[in-house]
Amino acid sequence: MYGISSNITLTKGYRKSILANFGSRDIFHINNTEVKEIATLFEQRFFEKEEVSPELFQFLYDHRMIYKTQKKIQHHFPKINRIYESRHTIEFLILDYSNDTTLQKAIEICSAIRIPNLLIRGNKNIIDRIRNSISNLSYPESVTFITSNPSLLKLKNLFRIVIQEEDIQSFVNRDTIDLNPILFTESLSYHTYFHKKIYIDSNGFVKNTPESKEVFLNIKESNFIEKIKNIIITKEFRKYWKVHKDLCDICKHCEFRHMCVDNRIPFQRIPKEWYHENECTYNPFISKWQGEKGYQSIKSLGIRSTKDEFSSPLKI
Amino acid sequence: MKTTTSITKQPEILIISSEEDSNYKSITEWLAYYKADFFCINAYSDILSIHSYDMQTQEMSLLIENQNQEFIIDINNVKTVFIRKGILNFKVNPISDALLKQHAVLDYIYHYEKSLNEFLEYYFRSRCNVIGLWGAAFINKLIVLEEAKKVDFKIPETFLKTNLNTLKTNTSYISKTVAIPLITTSNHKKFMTYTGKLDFSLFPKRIMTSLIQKEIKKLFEIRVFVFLKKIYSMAIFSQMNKESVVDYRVYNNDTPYLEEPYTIPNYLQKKILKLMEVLKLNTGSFDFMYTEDGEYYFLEVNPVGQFGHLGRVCGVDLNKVIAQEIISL
Amino acid sequence: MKNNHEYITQLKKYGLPADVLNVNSFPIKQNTTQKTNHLYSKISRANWNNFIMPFKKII
Repeated sequence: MYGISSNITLTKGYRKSILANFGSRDIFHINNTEVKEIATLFEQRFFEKEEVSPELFQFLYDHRMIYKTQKKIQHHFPKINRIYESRHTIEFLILDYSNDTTLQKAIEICSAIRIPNLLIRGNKNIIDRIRNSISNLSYPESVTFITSNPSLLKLKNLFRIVIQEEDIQSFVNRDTIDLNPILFTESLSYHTYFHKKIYIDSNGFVKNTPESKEVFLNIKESNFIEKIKNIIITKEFRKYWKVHKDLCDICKHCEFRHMCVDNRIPFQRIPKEWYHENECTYNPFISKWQGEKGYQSIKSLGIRSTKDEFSSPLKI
Repeated sequence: MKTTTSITKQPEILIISSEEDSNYKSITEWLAYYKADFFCINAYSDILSIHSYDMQTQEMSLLIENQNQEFIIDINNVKTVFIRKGILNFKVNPISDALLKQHAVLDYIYHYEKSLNEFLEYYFRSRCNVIGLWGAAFINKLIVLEEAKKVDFKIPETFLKTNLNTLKTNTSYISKTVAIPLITTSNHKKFMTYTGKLDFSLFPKRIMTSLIQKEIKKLFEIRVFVFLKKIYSMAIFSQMNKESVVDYRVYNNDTPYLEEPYTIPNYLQKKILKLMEVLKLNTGSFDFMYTEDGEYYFLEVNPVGQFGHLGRVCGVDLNKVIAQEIISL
Repeated sequence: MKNNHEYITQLKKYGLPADVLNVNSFPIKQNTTQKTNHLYSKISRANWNNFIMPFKKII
């Protein structure tokens, strides 16, 4: 008797599925017509070698997806229950750099609330200033400096400080789809873009993310740290945190839904039904990316995902 | 010469650990997340003194010193002490080399430190919950095997031998270290021993007492991590039988083929908890082998093992579990 | 002892316990004389050389 490894996940989309192995980091993008046998095995979790086609068995064995066990102990191999856990109320603070006062305040906020990741967008060389400010602090643990300034991009990364090029492509694209166990687990229950994030714009206004509409305060105000501590626990600030992809019209049919980070604001139709105003760059109904030959928009397929309803001429 | 002011604390929880342990950082961050009232003593960089103790009232405070800071820790509110790893450094002021060369002086210092260390352990154990092993956390493998047999664990056939020729010829044996692995360095290389199959041809007729066990044909190994009453296990598959075509991937033989979450049967759990009681452990990692005929063989216990990986295999953050367990005591 | 074979040849002579001859060797990294960077954590009052970095695309 063989068991399917707990490292394996199968995410079914409308036309294609993703078979992923967290152990080896292999990803297989498979047509749903070919995925039936694996899907059944995956549900069963245990099988006898004779039950499976030889090619499939060889594939599973070669890719370290199965283990040899005995029928009498199969109940000792529990199904893994992935839950995202974080010991930080806020994981990411994003700052659009404008001056040193806001930089210092952002760092102060990280220290006071224990935010481990600080991301700063800017084109001015403030790397030394950052290094000096954080050297004696426990938080933020790391600073990612995001810039399009070529002279800054030439600089070497420092301890706890990484310099990254600003990504001008559309947010969700082929290159940003990522298989990683933490992202996967987070995506099961949370919105991987909005969850545990806080953003300060170049004028000091505080929001959940750059795309968010709601402004909560300005760091020029007095007692800004106390105020921030109070707003990050409110339902309003956390509005989108639990909108995971299985609640969203189109995304729930996409095989990449546990591998993507999507910056579009979701809108609620009714509880547990959310939609987006714009399409992302992948159409899971025809499994094509924007720019690929044969690509069509979701709308052009006759699918409606709006405030009023979700409807589709395709069998869903 | 530093001039520092002492900071006084009255924590409810004391954490003693070595800064080289990666779980220590996460455990303390979870404790902070849960707003626990705790203080950390770092085994390598902190120097400890019993600052004040009144045997009449049993009130104690410790002085903790390191390069930059000084703390006076009032022990009276401490409910739980968690020792993750490490030996406490007691304050011994520097003295001349001439004095240090004298055996009697070294004896004096050694016994002085030993007494204070033992007393501190005694004091904590009599008034608080103490999790973990004090001091070197050294556990006698041979005694553990005997006690494991007494709580009715199956263990591999075990021998201590000076003459390997008295073992059976048609049987496979493995040699294990009696205490710790031997690590030697030479020519810019580090040589480290591991538990492995015994090659009889290598040995002279008489050798030093060696620990030998009959090799068990296993289906997989099991590691069980226990923290107080919380138990988490994983099954470790080292290699698959060659079923068919040549494996075209190059596998590193040192890394397991697969690790899977596992739940051990209740009777095994009970025996583990019983063994822990006997060995006076409240946390540790237990290694077993599971055989084709459905038997679990006990191999050894490590009181200070790493558990981060096991947690990940089981889908659990064990640092969080530990922090919660410490707080709820 | 340049390799496992030499190690075994040499140590065989001493009649040490049997476990001593099952050996693996690793090259030793040169001692770095440069100062290693640390992250000081106020929570544990300890120095760490590991730190948290973003695990996903953030902006």
